Amino acid sequence: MLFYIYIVFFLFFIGCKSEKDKKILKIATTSSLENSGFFRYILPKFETKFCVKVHLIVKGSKQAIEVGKRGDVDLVFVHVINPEEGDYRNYFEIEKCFYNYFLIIGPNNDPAEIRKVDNAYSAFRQIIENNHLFLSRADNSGTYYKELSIWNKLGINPKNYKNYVEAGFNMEKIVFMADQLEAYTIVDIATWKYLKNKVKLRPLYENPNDTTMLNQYYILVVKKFINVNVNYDYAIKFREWLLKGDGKNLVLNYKINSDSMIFKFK
Amino acid sequence: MEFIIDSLKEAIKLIVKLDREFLEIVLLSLKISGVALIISIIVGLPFTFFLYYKDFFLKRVIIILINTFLGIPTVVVGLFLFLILSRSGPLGFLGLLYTPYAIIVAQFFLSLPYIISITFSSLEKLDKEILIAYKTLGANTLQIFLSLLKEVRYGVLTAICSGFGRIISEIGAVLIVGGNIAHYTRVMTTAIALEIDKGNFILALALGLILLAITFVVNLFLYFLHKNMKK
Repeated sequence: MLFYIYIVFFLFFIGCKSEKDKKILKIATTSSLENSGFFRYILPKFETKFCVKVHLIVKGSKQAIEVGKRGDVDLVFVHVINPEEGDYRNYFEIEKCFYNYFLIIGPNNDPAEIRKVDNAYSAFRQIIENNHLFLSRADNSGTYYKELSIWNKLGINPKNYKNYVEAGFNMEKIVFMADQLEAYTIVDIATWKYLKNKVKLRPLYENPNDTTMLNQYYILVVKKFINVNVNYDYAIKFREWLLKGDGKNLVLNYKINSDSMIFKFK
Repeated sequence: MEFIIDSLKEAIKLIVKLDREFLEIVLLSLKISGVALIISIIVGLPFTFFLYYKDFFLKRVIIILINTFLGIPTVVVGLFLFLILSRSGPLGFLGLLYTPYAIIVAQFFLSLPYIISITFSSLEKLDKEILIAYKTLGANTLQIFLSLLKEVRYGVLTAICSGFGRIISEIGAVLIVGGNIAHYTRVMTTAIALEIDKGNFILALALGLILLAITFVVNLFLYFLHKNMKK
């Protein structure tokens, strides 16, 4: 009997406070991080360590920034968008986080012959100018901005082409849709590794060292003055844990379908 | 075809063995929509009787407006509530956005027009003489309310079922104001959309089957109700 009482006392002192009293940290994130399982892997460890409950809200990068600016979340994960531009610094404390890369996927028979090219620009040009379907996110997500920046550099306005399809869905839906339409599209490596066994598409242009296809993630902590209810302290704890603490090792050891090194730090 | 049958089998297995995640989502949906429905009944019924009982300026305008809200797209309700409940919005200090309470508010506004409109139309079918009769018998307002409620009970039940059918199956508003947070604001419809995104058709299908079953039961209930009414 005494033994059980000891156990109860022990649990009382080491355990977290009851669910109700737990602080809540609200994170807005891009769909590429959530749907590939990254947060389901990393968040429980953070929650246990800091006795906090994380509420995750999944949005495109631009929308995620928008809800951050309004003070509806405490911390924002985005990619590609350059947070140094615009007025983001007024609302957020911005830090570079991990990175990986984008690749171009398409039908296995590769009618645009982009397997042969040695840079992303030529691949994009060959797809659009040879009338092969290209599926675009068209939804203000980081992936969409990456795609737009490439068209801009090429001096091509893809909207002039009939084979350019603007779908307006999140990353996973686009991959499934491209699979059905046998279209080309651009996808981040984490999402791709998660979905690759579920579709017939193949990676056709993949070069981890091509800076054009770099996928840089940023952590944006919402500044305290935006709203008194912003959970600034835990947002900082989360950032430090992820960039410098135990979280960093967890990120480096993260595996999708037994492939490792999904995210890297500079 | 084989894929569909296999997925269906797996989905039914999931339902039968009461998978925890599955059960949690179903119960949360029923809880949220149930609370929203009860509040809209409490607010809606007295309002409807007031609308029927009293003649006043703009009465017809209000009725037309309520009927308009029957068909309002749920995303539009979601958008307005998002702007109002957001921290930068007028009611931001309440901190309701991305909580189950925000969903309850949205579903309250979605089911309320059904409660009012359908109850009101069955009240209108009553003989106006009945009001005069109650009054001459010396009934007070509460007694009139309860008597009328008894008269149109089938209409009220139809209204409640329709309101419930509307909110349990809607996704637009729930997604915008709830944020689809796991274990917190993830209800059946948003879970289905998410699982399809992730390519997990089994859980999506299991939830879809339950949603179908719920709507079926509600309609079955309505069917017997109407059958009874005709007797």
